Amino acid sequence: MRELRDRVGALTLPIFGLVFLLAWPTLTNHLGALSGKANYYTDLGTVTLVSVMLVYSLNLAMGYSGLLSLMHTGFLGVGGYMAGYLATRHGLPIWVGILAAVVAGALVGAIASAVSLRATYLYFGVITLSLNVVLGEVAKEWKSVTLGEDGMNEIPNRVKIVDGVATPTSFHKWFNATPRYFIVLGATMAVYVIHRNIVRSRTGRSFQAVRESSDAANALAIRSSTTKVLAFALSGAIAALAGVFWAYHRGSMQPSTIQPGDTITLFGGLLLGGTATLAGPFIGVVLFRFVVEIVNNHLVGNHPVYAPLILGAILWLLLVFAPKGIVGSWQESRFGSSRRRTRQQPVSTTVAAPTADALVWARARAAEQHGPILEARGVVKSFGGIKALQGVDVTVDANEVHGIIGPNGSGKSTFVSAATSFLHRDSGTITIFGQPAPSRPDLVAASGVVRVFQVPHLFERVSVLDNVLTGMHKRSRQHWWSAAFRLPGWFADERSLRDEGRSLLALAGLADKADWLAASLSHGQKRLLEVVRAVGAHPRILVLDEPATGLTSEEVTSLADLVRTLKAGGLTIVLIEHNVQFVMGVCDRVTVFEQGRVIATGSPAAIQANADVQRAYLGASDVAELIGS
Amino acid sequence: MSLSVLVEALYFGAVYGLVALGFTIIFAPTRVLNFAQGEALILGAAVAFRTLAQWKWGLLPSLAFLLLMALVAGVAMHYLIMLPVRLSGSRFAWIIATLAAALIFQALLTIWFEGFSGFLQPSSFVGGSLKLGSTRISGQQIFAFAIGIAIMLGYDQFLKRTIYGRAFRAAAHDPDTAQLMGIGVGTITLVSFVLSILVTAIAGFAASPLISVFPASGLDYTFKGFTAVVIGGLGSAKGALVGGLLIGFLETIVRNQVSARLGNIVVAVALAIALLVFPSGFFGKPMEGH
Repeated sequence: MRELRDRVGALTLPIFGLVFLLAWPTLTNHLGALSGKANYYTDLGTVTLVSVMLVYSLNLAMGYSGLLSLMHTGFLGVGGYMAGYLATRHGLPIWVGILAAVVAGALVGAIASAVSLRATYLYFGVITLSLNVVLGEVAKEWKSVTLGEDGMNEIPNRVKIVDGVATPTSFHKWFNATPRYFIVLGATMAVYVIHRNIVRSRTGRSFQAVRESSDAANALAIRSSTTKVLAFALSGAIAALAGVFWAYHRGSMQPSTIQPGDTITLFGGLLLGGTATLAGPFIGVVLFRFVVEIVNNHLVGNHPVYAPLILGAILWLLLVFAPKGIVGSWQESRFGSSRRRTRQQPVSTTVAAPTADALVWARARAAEQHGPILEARGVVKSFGGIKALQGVDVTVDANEVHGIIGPNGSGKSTFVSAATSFLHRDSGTITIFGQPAPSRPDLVAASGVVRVFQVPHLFERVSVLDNVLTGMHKRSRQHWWSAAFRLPGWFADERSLRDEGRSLLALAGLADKADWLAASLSHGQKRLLEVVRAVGAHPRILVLDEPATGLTSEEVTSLADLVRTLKAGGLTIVLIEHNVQFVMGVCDRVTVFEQGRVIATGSPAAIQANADVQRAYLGASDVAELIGS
Repeated sequence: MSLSVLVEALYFGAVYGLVALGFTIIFAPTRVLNFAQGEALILGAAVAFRTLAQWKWGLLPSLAFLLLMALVAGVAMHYLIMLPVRLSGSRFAWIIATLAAALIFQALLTIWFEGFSGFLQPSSFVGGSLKLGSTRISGQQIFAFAIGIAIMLGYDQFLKRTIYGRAFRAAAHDPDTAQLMGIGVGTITLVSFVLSILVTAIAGFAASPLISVFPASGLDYTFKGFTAVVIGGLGSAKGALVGGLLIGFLETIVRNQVSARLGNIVVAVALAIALLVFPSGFFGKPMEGH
């Protein structure tokens, strides 16, 4: 019942919005006729919708993928000039222009992001800003195509080929204002749906994973470089599509389109609405345009010079009073969805008995593998003068829980990073299932060795379930286009992932928190979630780097339960830990590190009896006490 | 390349360098790149033009007026930008906050000169000249360059030699820890804004007879200073100076020797290439977390 009410509630606003948009020309035509400006408001709506498209594209890049872009007016120009050129010089219809513009925008976006992969967030923004200037200057100087400062005019023109020479025919308006409005509205709706479909899919989850932490993404076999390029190419394609409608609506293209003066409108719309929200760009842009219109036409009157002052002040006030944007601030308010979810009573407080189904895959696999599956031979790693690892040999057998212990600074975590290629090894070899380990961390993860970091690397701004689904990235073969257009097969694939995600969450007792924001979990729950997320990747070897750090004793118990469940399910686990009791309780074999060397390997009992280990690690006199307890 | 081109490159370089230094001073404790920085330069030129050319004041009173205006503008800009940035959790908030500040300042400057349509360009207020061969270098040109160098060296020494400079550097390195050590990071942020606006406004004042700006030219200089600071690397006075001079040279040489229209594109391409090769600038450390 409650769910139904929530669903109806969630639909009210979109339906109201759609009705408003459909009725807009009818509503305003009278107004326009009265004030002697026929079609003025319809055209205003068209321009606003083009901005909405552009800001959805910006939201995909900035909001969901964390790629600060200052070249979206440049994409707009690329699309507009491409469509304009094809229409005025070659007389090609608009749909050819759309195809060509989308391809061109995607290419420009892919190239721009591919060359600036090394740049961090802010510098990525700076590079895009300079590329935008370059695009603007190209539009001015490449006169044979763009006609320079004069601009390209009469874009919706048809060209008649007379005796092999292209001759412009008389100028046709691109339909009338009202049909044009509806065409652009249809395109905007399509962009909204595609944007939403991508965001709520495997592809969108990988964008957000890279935004939150490229290390965590790599550990889940998501390659951050290609993900960024894909995100920016898609964003560029959508922005170029907006450019086509911009050009056709205005009937002309000038280099000034590309100059970033309008960027403030775009950022304003995006931030006002709320970044990384689905409805934000729409609400933000419409509201911003409304405010601009009121200020320009009604407030400043004969003193246009006051318009920017008032606009700046309004922008500033909105930023202060709705700092997360309208949609973001609403979600966090007491009416909003983030609060409502967290407030809901837990469905059940008891941890569901570990369901065997969630780990069927692991059991099937455990039956077929034997002997050593991960072998490290002579691994050396130095940081400057410090030799963190001085020739380490570790062998992990199939179906065991292998503990690695050692004092602080003994090289445990360095070993994990070196073995999973997050750090470059100075020398030594890592063999995974008889194959040399790949040199890229995402490939190591793809080959079945999935790690959990010592410092939490959760994707805090997405839901608990989405975290687990991100872990399953490599298991799904769905492509972005299949998500964008919801092709057949997508739904079944997504549903099976979601079902498995929920049953995995049940293993850790997090089933009732699946829809919470990951940030709202306690520290202990976050650690459990990270383990579950890694399990979602169906690892052959799960590497846990000090998972018990900072947990309460109860939380350590539930972590130990989870590890035992996974072990019983048939997973091979490498466990790096300080907590000796924990390690001795769950491990089949233990390797002891000291000062970058392995000093002992054996069963927990043998390690506890080992004199070297007692001296070097436990400290001779404390041993009896620790083991006795 | 003639000597006069070299001289032009030097004083333009010093101007860009001071805008870049302004960027750096605010960036250090706040991690905010102030897109309204160019407005401070226009403010300096506007004060010079109003007081010297229109009100016929002497140099000293108009400098005092500049100090006052920079103080007011610095404090105003601090609250305009930092209040929304602190309230918002979004890491993009600074962009819109500084752009809004730029919009407001540009509007105020435009309103201050409503009805006047020309460059904010007083005649030279530093006399004398130097003759080198066939080229005459005016005192104003030497002054604009010298004051840029002096401010940058002075700021560098301030950071390195004084206890306050140490506090500034601590706040830049890790505001939370600095706070724990008893350094008032809030005050440092406020002072940084005032200092930054003052430094850039002085550049605008000193170079106003040489550069041609409108009340609405702020964003152009923001872009140039921004480029300079990015190429030089955020965080050091030296980087700002080198970045500014590089941009000054590049732009002046292209404008004089190749084509007046290509200045911007060359600067943009240089920026893109510099960043692709040195992703954190020539003197900067890799940016983290911002």
